[in-house]
Amino acid sequence: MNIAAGKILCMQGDNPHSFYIVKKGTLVATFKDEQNEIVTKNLGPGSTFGELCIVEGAPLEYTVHAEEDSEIEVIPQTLFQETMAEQPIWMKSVISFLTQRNSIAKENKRKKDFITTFPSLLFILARSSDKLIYLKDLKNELKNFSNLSSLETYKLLLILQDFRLIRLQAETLTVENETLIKLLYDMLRIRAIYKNTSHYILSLTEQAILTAFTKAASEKGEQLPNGQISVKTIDLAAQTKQSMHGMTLTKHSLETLLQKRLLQALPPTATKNNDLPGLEFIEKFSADFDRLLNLLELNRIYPQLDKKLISGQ
Amino acid sequence: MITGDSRKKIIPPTCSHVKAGFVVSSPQDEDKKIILLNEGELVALDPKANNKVVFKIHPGNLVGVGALLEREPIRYIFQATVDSVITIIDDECMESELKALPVWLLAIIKAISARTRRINESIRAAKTDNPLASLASFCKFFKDDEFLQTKALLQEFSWLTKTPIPTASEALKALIRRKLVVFHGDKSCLSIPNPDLLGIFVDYQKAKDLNKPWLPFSLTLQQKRILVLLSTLENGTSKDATDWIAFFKERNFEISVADWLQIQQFEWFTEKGNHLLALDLSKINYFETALKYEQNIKGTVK
Repeated sequence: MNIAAGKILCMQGDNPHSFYIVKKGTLVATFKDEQNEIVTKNLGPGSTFGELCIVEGAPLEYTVHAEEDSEIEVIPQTLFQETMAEQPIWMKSVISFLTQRNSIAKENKRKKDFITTFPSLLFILARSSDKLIYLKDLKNELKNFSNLSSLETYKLLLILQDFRLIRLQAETLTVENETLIKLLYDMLRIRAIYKNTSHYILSLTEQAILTAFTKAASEKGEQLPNGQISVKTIDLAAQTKQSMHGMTLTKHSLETLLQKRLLQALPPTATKNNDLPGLEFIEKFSADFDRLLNLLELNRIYPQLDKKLISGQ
Repeated sequence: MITGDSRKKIIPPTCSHVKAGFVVSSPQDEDKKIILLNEGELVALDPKANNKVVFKIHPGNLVGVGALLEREPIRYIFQATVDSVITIIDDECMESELKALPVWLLAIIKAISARTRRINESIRAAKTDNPLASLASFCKFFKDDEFLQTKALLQEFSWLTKTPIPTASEALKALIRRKLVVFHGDKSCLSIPNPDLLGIFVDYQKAKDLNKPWLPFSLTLQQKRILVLLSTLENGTSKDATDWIAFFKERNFEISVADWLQIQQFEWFTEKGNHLLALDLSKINYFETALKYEQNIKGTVK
């Protein structure tokens, strides 16, 4: 088949049910990539295209036009089917296997791109100086880190919105909790690079005590000059018992929180051995209230994150 | 029409009956082969996980296509769980069959395989084509007063973009050479003296990637002089097009309508309504900074 220069052979999304081999001349394939940007590719003699159109009836991924007067060999699907009928049965299985493997690889790439772009998105949001960010600008920034499509990027943003970390508007997003985004990013970074769990990941007991602290602080807390809030040990113990099904506050259960500096004992109890004295010697505990709320929220979000990323695809 | 030569000699596949427990294929096999299960059942065992069963193969399914056609390593041991009937397509058999195929069918098989190979390679590859622009874009998010650990910064960038550390290190050296990033002490620490300049550098790199002229570096002498003049005005200064042209002419600039249209491409002005064009000093600063640091951006700084 001859095709004159400038003539369009087929359009992106068409289903020509044919396979093409360029014999002479040059054709140009034009398509929109994942970023919605137009990409062109020259198809010279020996180039082929349309393999998935003929094998599985998939639509063509690009528009093809002749750059110069060209000659192409067109293999219609009927010929493919007739020829396959003459082949041993296992040859059909081989082609079907190759096609399936291609689909699996494509899907794996999509999923992997989706999951691995998430930290980049957090990085940009955590580091942006503005709380109001244009989606267009964000996508442009993200291009320097990943080639995720606009649609997939939007799905990631929806996950962040579900966690109430951002709020999406028509053309912009507002960062709702910058601190939490930073904490989440740091946790992922530490997990990936250092293969460690961040010390911000709290045990259930630690979470229970801090939750009791925030409740006690809301009701009976006392604002300190350094901006922290203090709670009497007796009130913390009572709140822990009340809201945590009779859990008793012990010196042991508080030790890790003091080591992580999430709670401070008052008066300061640091000894040479950094040992914590008995609870009866501690009058109060103090903490940065907002920081505790963020940490508790982080520990609520974190276990859901991987699941959300998988289900959000 | 291109067709295959059906007269070529075909070596038929081998049909075998195997007993339960027989290993039909394993990673140690030197001969690559495709195994089609006709009857019975096979299991895939992972030798790296104490021969744990990974999946089962049922009649009609085949294994070893990647190994035979793509020379991929075999990952699993395939073992019959019950007495089974298999068809073995070895290298010789496959080659004879492929030779007998029409050239176009062979081209289809090769095209699908190549497509899969490209996708798999792209999964492992760095996420961006230009590591220099990508690293610059990453670095511009840090503040000018932050002291950063070189090793940690490269690790973090490599994690985000999948850029190999040696490639990231080369890109860092290119930024250091341009004085866009500065090492401290024994190079274990670095800082970004002007993060905004890195953003400008990224734009320059992008234009370069697209083989497009970059506007700040394509100004004529007159346009540069106009830029300097505009930088002395207040942000938001507004006039309509005629008044702007008159304004320039009053200051001895020979400016035609064509020149004016070209200037407007630089986006130094934003439309304000009522045909008014307001001066955007941030854009003016962008161009001025680019010109001031032209050597750094182009990499010709000494």
